[in-house]
Amino acid sequence: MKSHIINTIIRNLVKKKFLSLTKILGLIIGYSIFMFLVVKIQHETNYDQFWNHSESVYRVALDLKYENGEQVKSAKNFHGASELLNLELPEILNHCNFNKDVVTIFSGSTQKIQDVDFVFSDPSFFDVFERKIIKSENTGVLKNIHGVVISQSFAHKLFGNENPLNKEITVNEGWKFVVDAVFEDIPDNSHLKIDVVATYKSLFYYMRNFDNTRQILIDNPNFTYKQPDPYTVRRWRTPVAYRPYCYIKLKEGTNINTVESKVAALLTKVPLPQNLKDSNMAFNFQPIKDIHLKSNLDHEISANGNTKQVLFLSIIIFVVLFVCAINFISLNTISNLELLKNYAIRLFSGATYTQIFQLMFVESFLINALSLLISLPIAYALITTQLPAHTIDLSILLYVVFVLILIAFSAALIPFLSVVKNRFTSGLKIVGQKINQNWRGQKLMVTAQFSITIILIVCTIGIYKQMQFMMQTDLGFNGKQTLFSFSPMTMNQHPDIPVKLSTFRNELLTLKGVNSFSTSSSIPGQTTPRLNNQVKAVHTAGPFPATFNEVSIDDAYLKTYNIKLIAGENLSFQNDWVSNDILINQTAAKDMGFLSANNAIGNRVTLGKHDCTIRGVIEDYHHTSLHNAIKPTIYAQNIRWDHSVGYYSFQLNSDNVTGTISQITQIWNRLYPKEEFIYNFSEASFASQYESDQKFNQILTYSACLALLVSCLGLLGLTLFNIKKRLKEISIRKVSGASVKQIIIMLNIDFIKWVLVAFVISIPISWYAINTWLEDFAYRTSIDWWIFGIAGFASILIALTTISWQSFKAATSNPVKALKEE
Amino acid sequence: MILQIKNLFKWENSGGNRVFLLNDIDFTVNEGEFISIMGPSGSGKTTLLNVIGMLDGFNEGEYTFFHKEYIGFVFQSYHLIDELTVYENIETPLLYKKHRSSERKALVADMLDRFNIVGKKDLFPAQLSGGQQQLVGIARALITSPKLILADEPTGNLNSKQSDEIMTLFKQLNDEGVTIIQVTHSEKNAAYGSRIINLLDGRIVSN
Repeated sequence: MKSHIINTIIRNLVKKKFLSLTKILGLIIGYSIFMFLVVKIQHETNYDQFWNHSESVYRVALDLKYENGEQVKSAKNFHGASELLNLELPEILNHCNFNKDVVTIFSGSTQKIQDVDFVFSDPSFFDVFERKIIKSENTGVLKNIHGVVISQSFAHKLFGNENPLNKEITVNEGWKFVVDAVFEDIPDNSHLKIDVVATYKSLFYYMRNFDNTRQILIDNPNFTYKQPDPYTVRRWRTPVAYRPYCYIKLKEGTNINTVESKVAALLTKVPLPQNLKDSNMAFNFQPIKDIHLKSNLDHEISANGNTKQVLFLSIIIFVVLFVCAINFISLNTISNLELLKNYAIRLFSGATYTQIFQLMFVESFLINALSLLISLPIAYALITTQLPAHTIDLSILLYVVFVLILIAFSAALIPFLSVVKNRFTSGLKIVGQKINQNWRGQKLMVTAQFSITIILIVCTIGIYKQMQFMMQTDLGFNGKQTLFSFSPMTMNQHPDIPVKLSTFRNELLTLKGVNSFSTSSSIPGQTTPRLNNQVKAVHTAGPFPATFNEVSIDDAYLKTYNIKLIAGENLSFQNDWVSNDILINQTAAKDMGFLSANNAIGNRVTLGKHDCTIRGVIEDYHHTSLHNAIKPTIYAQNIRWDHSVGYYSFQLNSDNVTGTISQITQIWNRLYPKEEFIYNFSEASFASQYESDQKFNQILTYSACLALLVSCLGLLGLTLFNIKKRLKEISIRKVSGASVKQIIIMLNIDFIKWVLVAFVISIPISWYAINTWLEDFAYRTSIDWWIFGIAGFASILIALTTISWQSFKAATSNPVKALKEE
Repeated sequence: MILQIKNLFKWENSGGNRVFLLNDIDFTVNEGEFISIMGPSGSGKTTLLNVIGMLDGFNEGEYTFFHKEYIGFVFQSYHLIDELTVYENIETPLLYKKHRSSERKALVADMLDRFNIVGKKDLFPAQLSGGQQQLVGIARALITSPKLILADEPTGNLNSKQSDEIMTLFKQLNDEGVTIIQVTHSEKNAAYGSRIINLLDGRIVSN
């Protein structure tokens, strides 16, 4: 267009500095939040879509309905599951199982990395999960019994810039492996977090041939590996703790339903153990890209995301963008009202309405584009700090441009239709007459903006209250001044464990700073991976109708974590740390059918191969976060809890904690010289379960504050405009004797009544929203009326503060001046 | 003959009564005339001018004229766009007609030259005196070479010296062949014209 659009726009912007700044600031906030949250949602929803043929990779999960009615939906499955499918069905391209282990890895003499994500899998692992692989020419991938394949970033962590190939690493108690190959990192947005892959064959070889006493591998050239055979019963009776995750990859063009329909028939071909035969068993084929958001089974590899959070994020995006867009639209309408005279002049100079609209659109578009330009680096900074590992998908620009055009267009169209078009009905009457600058829509805009803002504030307070509730709830245990470390990995399977442990304990207890020391297979805040649904009363046939968590503890566990015993007695001290005594929690007592805690004492139950006696019942405590209900739990006294990690906990007294820690470190270093003493505080570790909640709360809080800010900016703009319009009226009122106070009240009430309407609208919506969010917590806070009160009061107060200064200025201005100008 | 008005009525209904703004107006304007419409406040001068300029409609009667494009408007309060420079203000009417950019430049340059405001072309209306602003307003009205100029109290906001200048300019334009109709209160201004139409309560009382 040829008119002096650009000049006009720039001059308008400069002339109305405050209004322009308000418009642009609101848009910057809107666009920044929009881009950041869209990327965050993309991050959440694009999980596992980067794999080659990700649409044909499925996890085979297990659905079991036992005869007694108990149902288990597990992410894990039997080894035989994927093997059977692979052998029987031509539709399947390949398959793999893997078992996950958390290990400590040593390299060289000093380097040590804890908490490494390590899997044992089939050689076909990388056929299912395709990755770029770097290896030497003459080595195969997962062919060498002493070889492992590690990720690029882990190689870098271990060896820096050196070539990792053929370097040696040591796992836990001394299994030595050679790095055969390096694989391209699995991106951050995958449900798989894997740094080291070794084969099952290696696992069995090392288990069979590793001398735990001398901590060396005795090579055995005669070792034969029994190839996995799904037609043997051993592939179908593994307890859940040792079951793998099973994956299959379909041939291109295969429908998963074809596979699913054949499963029942296939299962009749294999020798299932009796308890499976009696139960209803089915496979649940989960598309790999749905696992992160949609799968919420037992025994997931790691905590998955949840659809609800994504939904809430989407709503926040929409809502914040809406507030910012409304802000822009209403301010833009105001500026267009002030430009009416110019439009009139253009119209009688020969312009058409279409040309006027073009002018308005270009202006609106340019302001939006400018704001977007400014918000790009802001959003980029947000994304790189909050989601450091995420690669930004440029498709986001497409969305942004779409939103930009939408906002720019509506911000031109709405003022055009509501205040410009048809304004000049009888010819061009407007010229030479006073322009009527009323605009009815503004009340609606204020109401909409404030409704949304109040909803966001209520949700923020509600979520904050839930966070406080979770932090302050009596968890039933006390983790204050309690440290924990992993049990020393170098000791796994070592026959000396009990002896060394006793020495360690005895030396610790001589320290003045240590109140108590305990070892256990899990501690509060950590998962309890061992489940047992076959617990039964001694000499009865059927198990109790419940799945019990099993935790191994010692006699000092209750003291260390300050857990209350409500009936019976504590476990007694054992030299070898083993006995057939158990404790159960209240929930377990109820699930076992005891009428009271006291009734449970002395009863005997069968746990696996052992008949155990219930010695005591402890008060229910929250072993994991308040998201989860308290589970029935059995606390056994048994140090030989498989090969998995355990924990050492130290309850310290308050004086000289640092000194005590260094004393503990000395003892540790003397007894376990190969491992560094790495500790954490139990309380902090428990709180870290709420990290994702806190992050969400943070996003919501910031969004709510920014929405409030933008709403206030919009309100301020509207107030300024209205007061300017009413200056003559105000002057006349003053001349007629109105006091400053009366005028301020008159001006304020005009807006406050709309904020009040917004408040009323927002109550039911926010009540619904906050309750939906809280459904995710097994234990939740109450949503009291005062939350709404505070949110409403706060927004009215802030709105009042925003407009009162302007009202005051108008009310105290000199009336003569305003009247003279007329 | 440039325009003809026959038995023209315009009214408004207020409280059941019909109030006549223009009552049986009947006159003809010939090419090259310089007409002044006079009368007390509320007599319908501006309304009549708006009807002639097709800025406003009417209820009854007949009005013959060519096209709005051939009319230039000059207002008492100038009505310049504050955000545009003198140059851009004058150019505005050309933007909405099919003129090439070089053509526009030439036309605006001519106009600036003619009114001796070349030096002011980059100033904004607020930086000009009232008389200068009205010069710009007239330049803008003339840029499309109209056959007829309608001026609503063109000197109403000006002092007597500026007033004389503007009226001399109108006289000059009229001599060059432009037909002019002005609304004015001032006998002195009316004297520049060739004919006076007196209005009272929407009626022509003398022509």
